[in-house]
Amino acid sequence: MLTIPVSQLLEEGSELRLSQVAGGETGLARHISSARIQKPGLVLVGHTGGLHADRIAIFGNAEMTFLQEMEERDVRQAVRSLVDNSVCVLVITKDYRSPEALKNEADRAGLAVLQTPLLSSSFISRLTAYLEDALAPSTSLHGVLIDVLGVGVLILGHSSIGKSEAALDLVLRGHRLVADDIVDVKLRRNNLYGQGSEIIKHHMEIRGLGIINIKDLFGIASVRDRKKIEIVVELVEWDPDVEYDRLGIDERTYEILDISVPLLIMPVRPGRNMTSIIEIAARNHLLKQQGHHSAFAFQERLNRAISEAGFAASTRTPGEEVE
Amino acid sequence: MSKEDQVKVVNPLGLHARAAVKLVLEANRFESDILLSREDDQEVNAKSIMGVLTLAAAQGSEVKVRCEGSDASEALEAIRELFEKGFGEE
Repeated sequence: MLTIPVSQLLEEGSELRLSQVAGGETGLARHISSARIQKPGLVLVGHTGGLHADRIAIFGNAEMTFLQEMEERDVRQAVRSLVDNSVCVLVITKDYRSPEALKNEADRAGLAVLQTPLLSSSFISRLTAYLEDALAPSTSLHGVLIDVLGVGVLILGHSSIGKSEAALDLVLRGHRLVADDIVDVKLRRNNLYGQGSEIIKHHMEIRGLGIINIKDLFGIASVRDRKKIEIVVELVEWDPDVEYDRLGIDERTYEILDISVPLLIMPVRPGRNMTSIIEIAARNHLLKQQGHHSAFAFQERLNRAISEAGFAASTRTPGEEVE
Repeated sequence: MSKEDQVKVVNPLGLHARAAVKLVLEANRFESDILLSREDDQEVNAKSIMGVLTLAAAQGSEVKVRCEGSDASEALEAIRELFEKGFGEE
């Protein structure tokens, strides 16, 4: 289960415009593990059912005006159940001032209280987007991700098999580089999104040339920051003892973060133009997405021809010549 | 065989581009897979220059080295020595 510390909201979530009001370092060290939020207004009147420790609690207009109308002693009583249920963090929207009693209780329990000038509604939508991204399962792969005709193609294979060279060739043909060498992958809503790491973004290493900057060399349209991974092409050394796919009827898959991605195993040999083959693979993927599977369609045609020939043979009278 | 250890970046410039090249060349002498990581971050391949560069490790930072393969011990020793000697820099 992925979690982020509360401090990360302050450090990285600049669009959330948060500042800390109470809770100190202890509060910032608590962890958030859910992208969902809660508005625990009923906790203030003593109903603690449905309160989740892993979710961010938000106090907006209604909760804050309710607290402001209370005596300090009652505020202390009202917030105690929230504070004592070890909720990960409390955010006050619309820059409402936190009552002193709430601050004191939060400091005592080590609950971070944060404040934002945003309205609850816009804060919640920004927060959800931020948390879905930050809490998404992720991994990083050794490969090249490139957008070929709008299809995200992840090229894998061991060091120096020619992944970068194939990708460079694809860029020369007008396709767009996403990441070379290290692809950070995130899972969002059952889709895998790949991007390059910040430092080496849009750079490639080509043996003999060194490190080159694709964006500077080929312009803004030759790169993109992030792309959904739709097919995986694995480059392998040509092995005469291995049977490679000859028909394209049996579909293989490659597992990334428990998601199956169509996999093509591509033997590399001098004289085989990997770039063209990868481009055709992307075109073929687009056809399949439109519901047309070339290999299956061909198989069907063949089967029909065979069964017609069989039917003709069975109805033929003995001794008749076959044309 | 799998071996791992923590090493420290001691040279003042950190794991900069030229140091990274030395590291990659050294790593490529071994058959084992050599993986580097900082803190709890993702592992990168020590045989790939772009991978090593993403570490952006400054002086004083700790790097975890993990070697997998038949010559893992030798590989780990060689990588450790390179770090300890500050990649041969003054």
